[in-house]
This record gives sequence, C-alpha cells and structure tokens, in this order.
Amino acid sequence: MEKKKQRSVGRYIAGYAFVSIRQKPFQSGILGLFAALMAFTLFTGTLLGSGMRSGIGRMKERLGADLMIVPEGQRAKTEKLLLTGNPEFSYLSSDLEGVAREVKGVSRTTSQFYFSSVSADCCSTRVQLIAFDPKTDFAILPWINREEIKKTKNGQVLIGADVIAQKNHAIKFYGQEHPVAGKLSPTATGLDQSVFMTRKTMNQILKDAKNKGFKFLSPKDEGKVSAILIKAEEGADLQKIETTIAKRATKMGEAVDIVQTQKVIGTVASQFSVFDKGLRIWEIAIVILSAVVLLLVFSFSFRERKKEFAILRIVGITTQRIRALTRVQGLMISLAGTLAGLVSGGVIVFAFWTWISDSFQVPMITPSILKVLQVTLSAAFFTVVLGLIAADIATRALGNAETYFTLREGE
Amino acid sequence: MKKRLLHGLIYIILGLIVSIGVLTVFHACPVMKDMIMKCYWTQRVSVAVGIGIVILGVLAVFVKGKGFADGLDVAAVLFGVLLILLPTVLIGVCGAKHMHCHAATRPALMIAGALTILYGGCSILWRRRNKEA
Repeated sequence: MEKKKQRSVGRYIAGYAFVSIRQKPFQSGILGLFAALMAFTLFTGTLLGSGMRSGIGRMKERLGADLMIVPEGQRAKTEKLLLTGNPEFSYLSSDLEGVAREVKGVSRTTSQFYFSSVSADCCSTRVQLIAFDPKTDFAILPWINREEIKKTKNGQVLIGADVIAQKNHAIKFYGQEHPVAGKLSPTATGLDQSVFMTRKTMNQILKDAKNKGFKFLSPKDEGKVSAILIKAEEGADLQKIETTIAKRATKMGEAVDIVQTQKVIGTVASQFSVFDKGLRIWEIAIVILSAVVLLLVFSFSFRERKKEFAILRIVGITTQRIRALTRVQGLMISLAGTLAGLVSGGVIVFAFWTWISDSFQVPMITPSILKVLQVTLSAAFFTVVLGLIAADIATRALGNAETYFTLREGE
Repeated sequence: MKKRLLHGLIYIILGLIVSIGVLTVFHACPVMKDMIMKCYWTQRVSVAVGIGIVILGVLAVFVKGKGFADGLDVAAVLFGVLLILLPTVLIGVCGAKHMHCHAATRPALMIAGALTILYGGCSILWRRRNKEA
C-alpha cells in the first residue's frame, strides 16, 4: 500500500516537473542547450583524442624501419607518404642497399619502389603503388596474413585498407586487371591508400602505362629503387648509422636524404599533443561555462517560482517533495540535453572522421564499439550529474524561508 | 506571422548552408585539367537544391494557408531526400575515402538532407496536431 502511494507521488512529481518545463520553453531550452553543449564537447573531445592516440600508436607499430634512405630532396615527400600518401618520386641506385647492409649496426635492409597510378582507371583518384621485395621485406609482410602472402603471385596485388577493389576482386591499372590477393588492416597512414605488389608486377604495370602512352620512368631510372628501408640492431646508434651511410652514398656519387622514422612520428606526436592540449582546455572551458549557466538559470528559474513553491507548501507538500520536484526537473532537462548532445556529437564525429583526420594531418583510428559506449556513458553520466548538482544547489539556495512571508513578499 | 517567419527562416538557413557550404567548406574536388569528377556535378545540383529550399522558405514566410504550408513541407522533405541521394545513388562522389568530396561533401549533404527531412516531417505532424495554418 505504502509502495503504491510512493509510486503515485513519484508519477505526480514527474508530471508536475514536465508541465513546469513546458511552461517555460525559453528557460528550459537554454538549460537543455548548455547540457547538450557539455555532453557534445565531452563526447567528441574524448573520442577524437582517443582516436588520434591510437592512430599514433598504430603508426609506431606499423613502421617497421628505423631509417629510410631516399633520393635527395625527397625527405618531405617521404614524411608525407608515411602520413597521407604522396605520389611523386625520383629514384636511387639499388646498389646502395648492399652498401647499407654492410654498415655496422644495421640488422636488415630491404628496398621499395614507389609509383603512382593516374586517376582514371581505378578509384577515381591516384593511389600509391609500392613494390616490395618479398625475400628481404620486413616492413609490409609482417602485417599480412600468411595465407595471403602465399597467394600473392606475380600479377597479383595486396591493397591498403582504404583502397576499394572492383566487384570481381581485382583492380585495374592502365587497362589491365590485377587480382587482389588480400587487404591490409587499417594503419591510418598513407599506406592505407597504397597498393602493394612484387617488383615484377610493378614492371608489368609500368609497361602497360608505357603502352597507353604514359612515360613515367626515364630509361636511366630502370632497375632503380625509391627507398631503402633499414632496420637497425637493438640499441644501435641511429645517428652514427645515418652519418656512415650518407658518407658512403656520397662516395658512390648518390645524393641521398636519410629519414629517421621515429622523428616523423615525433613530429606527428608533437602536433597531436598541441591539439590534445587545446582540446582539453576547450573541454574544461565548456564544462565550467555550462555548469555556471546551468546553476544561474536554475537559480533564476526557482527564485521566480518561490511563490509557487510556497503555495505547494500551504497545500501540504513537504519541503523534501518540493526539492524532489526541482531535482526531477533538473534530471529531465539534463537527460534531454545529454541525448541531443550525444546524438549530434556522434553524427558529426563519425560522419566527418576521415575529414577531421586529414585536416589535422594526424592519423586517427576509428574507436571500437566498446570504447564508444564507454565514452558515451561517461559523458552522459558527467552531464546528468552536473545538471542534478546545479539544480540541487539552486534549490538549497532558496533556503527555508517562512511560507507566509514568501507568499506576501513584495506586497 | 511570427511563427511563419521563424518556420520560413529555418528553411532559408538550411538552404543557404547547403548552397554556400558545398561551394566553400564542403566543396567538391577541384577540376583537374580536362578531367571533371562526378562530385563536381553533385556539387552543382546541390547548389540548385539548396536554392530551391531557400525559395521554399521565402514562400513559407509570405504565403498563408494550411494546405499550401503542408505542400511546402512535403517539397522540403523531397528536397531532403534528394540531398541524400545525390552523393550516394544519383550522381555520387569520388571513390577514395580521403578525397575531399568523399570525406566532407558527402556527409555534409547527407546530414543537411536528414535535417531537412526531419524538420519538414516534424512541421507537418506539428501542424496536424495543432490544427492550425
């Protein structure tokens, strides 16, 4: 019986709170808007930060080489290739690989050849073609399923996560179709927009391009490579290796640039840390602003309703129930605002995920459903609790003034 | 009049966001030499659809009548559907995920389309509930 009575009182309080919210659409709208803003900022900020953090982590894992030897003047392009994919390259002598292998501290070396397709045939954009040497490779193969390696015969290709194959599981370059043997997992780097193949397949594609009237390589560049990747021994001095290789290359008459991949990651990481700091400051500012506005508007709204509360007291509603009423009202508004903020945040962040990543030039990995759920729940919890606290503080500020005086105030 | 003005203004703002947005922030890929990508056509048609929504908004401000207002909302819903179908089915955008049109224009048009449908649909329902012009 008591429980039934409690339930009906609860329903009455919820109904009364709902009517109060509808009677003041402007005030309720402002409160809801700031609750939404807070939920939106917390949700999007946390999700973007986490996406970037895991993107940089994946990039660190994924770059198997410690050093990359590239033709002189290609440093910036190579750094860009690692991040976003950049399709123009010049070439260097493959003999340099043997020279680099003999340098003290070098554990493994492999060469790669880069080349870009013209847009028309495939994907309506340029993709980066990367030829690797399956015998010496340590940068690409560890990331491909063994079965797929076996399947990758000459003429077949492996595609990056963002490259879309045709319906018949093939990809067309310069009029010739090449079967796709496998797809690499996403790295959030330029490698996602690349197509990988053996040097033989690449030579065939270059031949097809030539037949179609495209001349990409001058005869003197044939047999050359775009980059030599170096894996150093554990604890080796990278700077020393770099200097030795540069000296030997100069002796050979090759002008080269040597890129330390960890430095590239360092640049991205520092870019990210600036962004992350900005994001944190923005989040804190929005939370403080929203909390202050919620508190002020709730206080204003409850102060306006002082007489209404006094009448409720006269008809026998206890102070506790009036407080419950204001809390329910705070809860309803914060819940509605949170829902709106989370929905709009989710739509915007996921719809523009790639664009945001490209604009900031920081690799971003889409978070797992579990992570999204965790961020959603924590943002919702934080916003609702803050809304409730604001409503509660505003209620307490009303004090326990004598009902008679409250009612006659201003007369 | 006040309600009609607000109602019309929402359509005008939505239409302007679409038309100006696809020409500026959410632009399609640039035309390269003599190659015109399909996103270019999506962009051009979207500008026209955006202007159509702006005209609907202007009419909604100045013309009275419940039937007419319903008609405008239905037209807005259809324009919204068109905004979603243009980059996805009817014309499309570039295939690669990182092309600007794929990463920015397409989602922007889809969101604008969804908002137009949502607002047009809600205002029809709201008018039915309130039985007013």
